[in-house]
Amino acid sequence: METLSRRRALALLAGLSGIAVLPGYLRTAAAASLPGPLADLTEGLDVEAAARLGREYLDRYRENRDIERLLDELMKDSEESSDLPAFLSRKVRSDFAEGRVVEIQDWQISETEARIFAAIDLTS
Amino acid sequence: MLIDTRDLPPNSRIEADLAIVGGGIAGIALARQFEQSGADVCILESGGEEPEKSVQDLYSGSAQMRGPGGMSRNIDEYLTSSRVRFYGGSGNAWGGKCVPLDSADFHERSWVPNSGWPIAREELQPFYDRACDLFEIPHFPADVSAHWTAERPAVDLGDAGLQSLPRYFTRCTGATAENTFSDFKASVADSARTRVYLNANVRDIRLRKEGRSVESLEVATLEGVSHEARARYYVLATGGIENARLLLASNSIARNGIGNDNDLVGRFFQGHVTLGLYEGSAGRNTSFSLCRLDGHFGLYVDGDRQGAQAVIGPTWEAQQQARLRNCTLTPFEVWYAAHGSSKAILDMTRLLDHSLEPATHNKSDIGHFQFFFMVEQSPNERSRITLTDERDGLGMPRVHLDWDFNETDFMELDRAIAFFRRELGRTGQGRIEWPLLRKEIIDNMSMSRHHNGSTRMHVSPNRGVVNADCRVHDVSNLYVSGSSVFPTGGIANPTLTLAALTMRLSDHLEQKLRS
Repeated sequence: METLSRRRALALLAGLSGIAVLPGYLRTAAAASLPGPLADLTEGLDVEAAARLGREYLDRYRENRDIERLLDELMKDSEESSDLPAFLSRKVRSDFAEGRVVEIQDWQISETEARIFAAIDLTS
Repeated sequence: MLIDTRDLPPNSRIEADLAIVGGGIAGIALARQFEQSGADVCILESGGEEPEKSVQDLYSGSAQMRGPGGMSRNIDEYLTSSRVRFYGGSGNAWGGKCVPLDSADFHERSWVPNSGWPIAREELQPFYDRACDLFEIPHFPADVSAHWTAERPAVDLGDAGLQSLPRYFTRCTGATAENTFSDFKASVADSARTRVYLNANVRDIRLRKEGRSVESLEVATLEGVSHEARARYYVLATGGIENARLLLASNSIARNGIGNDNDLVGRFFQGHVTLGLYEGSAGRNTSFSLCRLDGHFGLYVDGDRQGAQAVIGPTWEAQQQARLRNCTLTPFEVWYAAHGSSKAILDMTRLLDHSLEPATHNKSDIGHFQFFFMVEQSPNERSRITLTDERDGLGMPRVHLDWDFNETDFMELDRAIAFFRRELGRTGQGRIEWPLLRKEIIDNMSMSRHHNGSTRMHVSPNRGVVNADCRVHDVSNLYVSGSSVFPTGGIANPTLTLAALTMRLSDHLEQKLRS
């Protein structure tokens, strides 16, 4: 796995959190590579609510407070050419199949989703 | 012909080929099958044509719902609120939901203690068809997937171990269409060969001295006048609690009660409860999201209790693989909009789950529904009906119900919810919000009027009260009709199955009466 994936992950986060809080150079890169579905999500996402979910997750799994580590976990096994939402979606499904799930606010979500929310919290 | 028993001279004798105790859906359905047979049939109905408090009070007793760790809830009122005691029985208040038990329910499953019917789902198919005709609803194919057609599509659940399960609402209920149900009742009352005795309470089933057959029934009115009914065959169709009560109370020859040599009458009581929380947008809710709606979900949330409805449950294959009890998720109309955390989760689901969907899929079409959940209760001998020292207006002992859920029932509920969550997530279908804490379960159980298991069916008298013909073991001419004979009750509303069993019983009795 490597590295452009990291940049694309940041693009994802930029999309999710409305870009505003990312450093300028990342914001530009993120906006440039923002996949369509992420843009769709950005339109409707309540960033504050997403961040609250992320915070709840981070309170329980404090080791994920390190954004570098969190992104590494999120993007593990991704490939340069992969479509990010599709990659993450497969990861989410695999999480459910293998029991990597978290209960937050009475919902059960995958570890991957929880980490995305956590990343939103850490970057917003 | 309708006869008011209060008009009979004291100590009258009622004679018939077949005496049916109870004029509810089972009793009426059974009597209807004999209209062309030439047999004389009488129905002995406790109530009159209209509800009366003094009659309804005959159901009163004490009842407790129990859970593991000492959880307990007084449910005395359930005994009177879950039954209706006048001609037509609880059919007068029935919601009309019809559904057969699933194939899974009939199997002996090693992971469900005391499970297994002595008959298979396939064997009941022709009787289910006849019961559907009785209720004027379409037939249920044995293969559930055959139900769904292009005109009536189920939602796409992908390769999740889940399936859509159909239900139909009949109009043949007092709650839905009083005129239709009145016609149903009148169809028997107008028959030349059937006499319906109103205000006729069976107080005692009298066995012959050898204890192997019924000689007569003691019939009493609330005014204290006694009569006697004699028939070649007798059928108890008084409901899932009263059937057991009458057997237990008839103890002049059989000291432990009829059919109770092995202390099984009244045990293994199973009811149906629904679980859900609906506190609105500011509170806690049981809800779920579904990503692949494609506009078909009206069938699932149609709340007008007319025509068809669908719920979602695990396939038999999935139940076997996961060693899962039968369970269903029943969606209903959304009445609050997700906001805050719930909305963020739904939005994330939309993004990620939809990203792997074909381009033709309407990716904005994600649904969010409230639901209630049901999981079958395993037959448990501690869940039981007993008699108390208190007497009712007829001098009969009142009942006590201990409706007992054990630790395994709770664990299996957790596993069932976890299964739905995993399958929806694993296949990119959606997510589930489940706020109920274990300590809240007993208080949040909404009790259906479904009483199963207290005279359970088994080929062996050591394990059941009635045999596969619904005849009380070791009593040659006494039968039981109703959901009390269900060894397991699954999660299906019981009326269609009890009607199907009644059709089957009528064929059996018709042969007996001919011989």
